[in-house]
Amino acid sequence: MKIVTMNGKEFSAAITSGDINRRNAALKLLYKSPVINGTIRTWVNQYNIVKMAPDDILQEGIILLDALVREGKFREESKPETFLLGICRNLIRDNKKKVDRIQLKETFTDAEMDSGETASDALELVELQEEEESRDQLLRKAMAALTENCREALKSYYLDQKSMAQVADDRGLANAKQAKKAVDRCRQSLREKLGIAA
Amino acid sequence: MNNFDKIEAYLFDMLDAAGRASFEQEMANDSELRAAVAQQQLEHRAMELAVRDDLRNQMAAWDLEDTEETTAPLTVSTAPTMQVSFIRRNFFKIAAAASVLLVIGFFSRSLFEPSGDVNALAYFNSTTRSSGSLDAMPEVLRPGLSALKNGQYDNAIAAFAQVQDPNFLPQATLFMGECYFRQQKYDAALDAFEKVESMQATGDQKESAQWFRLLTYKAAGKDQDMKALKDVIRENKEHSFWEEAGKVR
Repeated sequence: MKIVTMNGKEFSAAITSGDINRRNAALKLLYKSPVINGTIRTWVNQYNIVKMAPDDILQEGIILLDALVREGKFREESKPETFLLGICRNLIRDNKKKVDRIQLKETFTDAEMDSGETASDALELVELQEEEESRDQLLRKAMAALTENCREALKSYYLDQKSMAQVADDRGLANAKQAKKAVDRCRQSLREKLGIAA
Repeated sequence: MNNFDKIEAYLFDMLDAAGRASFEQEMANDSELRAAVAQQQLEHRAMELAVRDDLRNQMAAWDLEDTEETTAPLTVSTAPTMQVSFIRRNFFKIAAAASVLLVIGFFSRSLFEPSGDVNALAYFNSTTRSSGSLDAMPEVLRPGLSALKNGQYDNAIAAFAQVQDPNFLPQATLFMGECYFRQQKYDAALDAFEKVESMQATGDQKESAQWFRLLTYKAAGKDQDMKALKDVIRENKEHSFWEEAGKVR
């Protein structure tokens, strides 16, 4: 079997590249890793979890890891799989929490990032509060009320925004300008759906 | 930089430490600015949730793929391997995942700003995806696209007709329509674009098909049909070609 490896730097670059295919390929490597899947399954059995299945833990872990990297909080010296396992171990331990974000504890040490077990001690879960949950429901509804085109435009903008200026430079202003116009229009629609239109 | 852009830069963490501190100071003294930041933050949260939901759907789509694919683990290890359960619990997730796979990048479309009434071919050239790089295209579409780019329209049509994968069928059919359009076989082009509008395609692809159909009507001199379709597009302000349609006379 061909072994594909990705270090923290490569992983981080793929997630923040603004290239959706590159980002997905990096996340898929983690998602499909038998090592990660097997370890999570073992831990779930150890903790006798009933609330979340191993697949759910892995999915939530990847979503949290992706967000953490996009926020620029991922430590590129760390192995992505170690980081992911650290997140998943936390999710298993605190499986009753509704987790919104994950962050590094201020007291973390590099040594803690050596394995999934120890990495979990360096990370902490940030819970989603009840009112935030209601807010999120409304936001999801507003997004769902947009046209598919608009949803795609806004997601692309949100994921790619850091490279938009580069795109404008590379391809000439007209494209970026037109793209920006479309995004502005969709953003205005979103505001209208949220009832906060000016 | 206007306030909107400044807030975006702040929320996307693109300001340096000094810029960030100065912006936060500004916020502390300006309640209107604080309200604007809160509003844009809310919009960002909506987009973040959509991105997360998308990723969830994407993972469900990966579950559907063949387990024997070439993707390998990140590390060499003796850790126990396991059989991942590929039975998903939520059909809708899968359906949504399929649509994720169908999405063609919104921003990859060649965008332009036409002025006044220009001819249908010029509009077509400005808005078709066929002018993009071959490398950026899925492999299955490349033979047809290569022929299209070389003006070998019959070969291109034959190659696109070979595409059976439902994920790529709408784009292949759009390109077939383009080939017919360039051959001035307008009835065949209209058939192809109508087919895309009625098949399982993304909203983006359907709107492109609608727009190309309008251009085909224009090129074919079918003014009545063109005007009727233009009205349909102009009724939907979120249509990708709402603005362009307004300029077609």
